[in-house]
Amino acid sequence: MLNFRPFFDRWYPRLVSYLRAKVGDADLAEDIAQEAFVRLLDETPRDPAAWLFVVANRLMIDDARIARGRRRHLTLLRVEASDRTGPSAEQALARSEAIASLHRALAALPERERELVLLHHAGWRYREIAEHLGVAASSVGSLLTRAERRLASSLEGSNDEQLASS
Amino acid sequence: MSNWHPADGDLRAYADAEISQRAAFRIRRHLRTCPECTAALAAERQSAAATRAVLSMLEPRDVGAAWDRISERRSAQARLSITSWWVSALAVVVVVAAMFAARPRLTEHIAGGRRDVCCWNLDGGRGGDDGILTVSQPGEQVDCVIVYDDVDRSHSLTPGDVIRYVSDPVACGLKPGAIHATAGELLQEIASR
Repeated sequence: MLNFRPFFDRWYPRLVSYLRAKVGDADLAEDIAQEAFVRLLDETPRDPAAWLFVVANRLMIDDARIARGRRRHLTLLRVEASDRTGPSAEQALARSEAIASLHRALAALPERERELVLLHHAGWRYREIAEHLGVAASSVGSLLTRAERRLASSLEGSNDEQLASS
Repeated sequence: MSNWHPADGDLRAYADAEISQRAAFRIRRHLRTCPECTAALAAERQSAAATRAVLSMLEPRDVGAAWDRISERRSAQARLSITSWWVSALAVVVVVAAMFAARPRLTEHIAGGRRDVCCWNLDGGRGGDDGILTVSQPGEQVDCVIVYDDVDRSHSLTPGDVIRYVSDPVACGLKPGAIHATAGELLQEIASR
């Protein structure tokens, strides 16, 4: 029997950040993650963490609202207004802009590299990532290195653009 | 120092503890004597930490609140499940009671040597609408048997019903060979004799 609270504390933040990177909406990401966890309570999958991500991905695809969120994400125009952050308006704005830059940088990555970075950050092992993406486990390290460099470069470019426009 | 150097991907896998013990041992030994690879490993770790830091911006702020929402949803589902169970049980009770109330019941009317029992289902039709009227005195043989359809659902032979069978008209107090289209005519004749 799954000890649910520690499992939730460990995997909920990871699942939310994975979903949020994909749908570009914090509230929507949390809604999907919570729905996936509620469904998990009625199931006993062999690998609960992998099951969660599969179900969350399916929910993301099925839900029309999510499709709208994803389109917004792909247009790269959206700054998350609902981001509940720091004490001051300036900090909140800075954080929103940073998150918007991150979304843009992630969107600029090839889909496979984006998935790789997100799944690795979500705590997936190389073997699981390799199975999911259909690549050799031995190549995950080099793919990850390349993807992270590209992400960092894209983030720097985004920051430079912001500085130039401000 | 050997000419062999681990590939970037292997260094990254080493940094993530995603490499076999044997390969890790080899890299570890190599790092003792290779400042370039040591620097490359540090760069990998720095890159991983930077990615972690930037992606952590996407993590939810209040996991406890999310847990509370899930617990509340779970409780609501449980309450709904219990309510559904009671509603289902009540529905079953209502259906059984309705079936019990609607079942065919026999009623008996006895007067003046006539015994009228209704209603049976003698013809295999829908519902029980077949009544039997016998005429006899207590202790005597029953020679008169009249079978009728209880058309008006009065649970007794009444003028509106239809006669299906008369065992022996004379024994029933009727004219020999009498044919009665309706129960009204038959009842009238019995009453007049």
